Amino acid sequence: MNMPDATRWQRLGELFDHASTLAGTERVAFVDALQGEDAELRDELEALLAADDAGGLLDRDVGSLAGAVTQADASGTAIGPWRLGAVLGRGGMGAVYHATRADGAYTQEAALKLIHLGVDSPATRARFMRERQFLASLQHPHIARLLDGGVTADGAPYLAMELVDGERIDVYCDSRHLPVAARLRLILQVLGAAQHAHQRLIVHRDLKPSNILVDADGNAKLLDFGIATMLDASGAATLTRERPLTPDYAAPEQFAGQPVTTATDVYALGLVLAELLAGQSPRAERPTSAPLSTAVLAADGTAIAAARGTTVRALVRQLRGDLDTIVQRALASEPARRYSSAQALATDIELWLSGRPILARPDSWLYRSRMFVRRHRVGVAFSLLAAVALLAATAFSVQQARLARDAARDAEARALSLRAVNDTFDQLMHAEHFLADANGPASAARLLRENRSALDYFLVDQPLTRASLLWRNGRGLRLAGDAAGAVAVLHAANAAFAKAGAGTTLNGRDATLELARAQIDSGDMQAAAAELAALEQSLNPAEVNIELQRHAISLLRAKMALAAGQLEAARAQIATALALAPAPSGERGARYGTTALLAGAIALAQAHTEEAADRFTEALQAMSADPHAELAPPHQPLAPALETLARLGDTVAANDYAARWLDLRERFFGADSVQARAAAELQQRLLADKLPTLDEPERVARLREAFAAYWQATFVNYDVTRDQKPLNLDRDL
Amino acid sequence: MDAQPLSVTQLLAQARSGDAAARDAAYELVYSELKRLAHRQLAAQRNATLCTTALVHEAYVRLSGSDASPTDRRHLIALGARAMRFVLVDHARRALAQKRDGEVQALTVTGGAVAGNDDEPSAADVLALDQALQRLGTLDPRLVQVVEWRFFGGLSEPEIAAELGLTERTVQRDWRRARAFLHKELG
Repeated sequence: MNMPDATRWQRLGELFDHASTLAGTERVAFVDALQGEDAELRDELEALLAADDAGGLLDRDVGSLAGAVTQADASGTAIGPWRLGAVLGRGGMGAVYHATRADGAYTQEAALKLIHLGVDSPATRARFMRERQFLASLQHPHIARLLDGGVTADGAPYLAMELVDGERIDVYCDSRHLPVAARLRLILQVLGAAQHAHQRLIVHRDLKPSNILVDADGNAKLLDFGIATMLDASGAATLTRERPLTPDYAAPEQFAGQPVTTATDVYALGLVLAELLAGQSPRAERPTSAPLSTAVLAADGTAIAAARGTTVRALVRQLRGDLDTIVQRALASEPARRYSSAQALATDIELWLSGRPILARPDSWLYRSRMFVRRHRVGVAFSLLAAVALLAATAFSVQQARLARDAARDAEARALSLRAVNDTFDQLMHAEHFLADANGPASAARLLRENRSALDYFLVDQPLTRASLLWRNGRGLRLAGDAAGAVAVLHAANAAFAKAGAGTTLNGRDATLELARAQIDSGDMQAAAAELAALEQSLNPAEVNIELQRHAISLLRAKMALAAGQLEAARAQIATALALAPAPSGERGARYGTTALLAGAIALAQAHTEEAADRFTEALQAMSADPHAELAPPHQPLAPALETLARLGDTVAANDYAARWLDLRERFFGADSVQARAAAELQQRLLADKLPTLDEPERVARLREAFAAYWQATFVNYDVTRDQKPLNLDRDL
Repeated sequence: MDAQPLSVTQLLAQARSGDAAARDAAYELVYSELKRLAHRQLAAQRNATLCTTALVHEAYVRLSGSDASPTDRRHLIALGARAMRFVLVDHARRALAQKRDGEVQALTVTGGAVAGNDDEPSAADVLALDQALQRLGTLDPRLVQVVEWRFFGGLSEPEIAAELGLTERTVQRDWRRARAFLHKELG
């Protein structure tokens, strides 16, 4: 007790850190052990732990505090045809009143939600009413109907909803001691309702036990479906709302401010499911990935089991295995790894109930490790790039808006376009995350297609921003392997640039080049050749970047010629490209590197193996000089180069190459990374295999084996034995 | 400020590299703009739009800068978090004063079968939180920083870690300590 406060707090903090990782009797024992040393400290620790478990104000959204400092009570007043009664509840967005119809037409009761935000222009008012109409069309036995809605005289939107006489789903289940199977059947009702709404593209965004009521007949009803999205989409909120409504049930993408989709609802329902099954939200316990069965054991399992009419042992046995897997799949932090829909989650629950094998598989070690690596390195690099782009585009769109409008309309347009730009960029960023992973293209393509539809809807009044985003979207699609989709989007991007009078700007040109690349990828060489010819025609010798444009054109022509088997033509084009490529130094290295890489591939096709080997070495040298080159697909320079060297029997060069590779991996990922260790292993195999003593087929086979081990270790799904065309790897020329 | 837009980048560049006086001046400019915007957000019952990130975006619009880096954005959010705390406390004080003047009784009905019936925070809670934060500041100022950025600013743990030069784990631990302390004080 004679310690100064700060020192004492430090000590308390350390004790707390440790104690909070313990559960049940272990924790009690740890806390009690302090009794002898310092009873007061023990009590403080206990209070701290209790406060930690209980939660409170800080678990809320800061926006809900705003309600606290400004809220008013409207009981007794009339709104539209409704007379307001008692306050039934308050939330961050406003208050809910018991309301009766006051126009004497007929007797009807409702829960009326008065929302604390302004709808102050005729346009947003009209949009709000349209959205209301749309939500009112949502009819499902397990969704509380929207009866009416409008805007009060002072601009506050209100919504009258079916008044549901029921209990929160968790309270309902516990008070009736419902067993696991009955709880699952209740969740199936909820999932059916969610699926119904999702099929109409209505997302709830704020699913939680207090939004799911069960009436006396055992019918679940979902409240507030689509309200959050509606308020956002109608522009009632004039600024983007990026924070989750209820932190306890918000999905990771909501915390990250990323786009909210039906997968967000799947996550929230996963949390509700976990709570109904194991008595507590996985959020409350750390680590969050702990299986349900562990959570039951860690907590006071007896009470939890009793509420389910069973024993701890039986409950754990029931939860272990498939139900754990189902919950974990629903709670995957990445939306694309979750159940693809409420229906898919329902299907697995139904399978479990009928005693058949479920469809979801537990996460493999490989998957988890890959996620780790991606989260920590490549992801960081990619999101940085995207963030920079986002800032640039935000500032850009702001300027556009400023020029376009008078001051009053300006504010609204700006806020809306900021939101649209941010949302679409978030999606792009997310898609690029996926692209960084060899298994991600399908997910990336899915996201990009969603992103594309958003672009059709938003930003129509900002042609340049929209054109740039379309271009990025198309490029993403191409990298994700959807060449046909990319061609369509890039056509739109080019049209958008042209319409904005920016067809011949640097960005406009790049969009045209990108279109040609996509056309090549989709096998439409004629169209690509035509685009390139037109582009060449339109080049103005006075342009600053003319050499780079010419370089890109030659490079693509060389690529096409190689694909068509016209090796001499390919050679001529690549010679031009090499001459036009910037000197292979510093930040320009990647560009030279890709050129040299293609030159090597062409030489290889012409059986000029030694020249090929030189080119590949050159490519690697150029790329290692470029700090950004590592963002290119990692397998780009390694595969064709090593294979060529192996064919030549030049294992010294191959080893040298592998050493450089190791150096690059270490610099980018860190010496301790999986990538670096795999590269070191690869290098060792090359040394140990005594390749020169073997004949060529054996040598190549050994090398491929070493490769396969390398890719496997770095989690790239790359079947070397199948891949006979190294150039296919080169998606980013 | 409309007549002569300031570049966020310039301000923050000064803030980072300049002498202490220049830094204070630059931050003060950005901060007062953020506070003004936060007040406006709260005005006219538009409170559901309260969001620090939105605030910062809007500050961008107002102060106009086209070449800001992600670091600048983080600095801005950090300032925005401070502004958000200040403005909330300010409003809470006013709300309580009004309540006393008008002798309006707070009507609280709980247990209704409607969403949002969790115990809602009051203006007094906001003030209590602010005071608890001040007490926490005497024990461990860094924890206050983490709370401001995470709770008021909506920064993610990785972002806070980057800003403070700490590991994510440390930030998580800080947050959990701070959260328990504050909930204990408020409880």
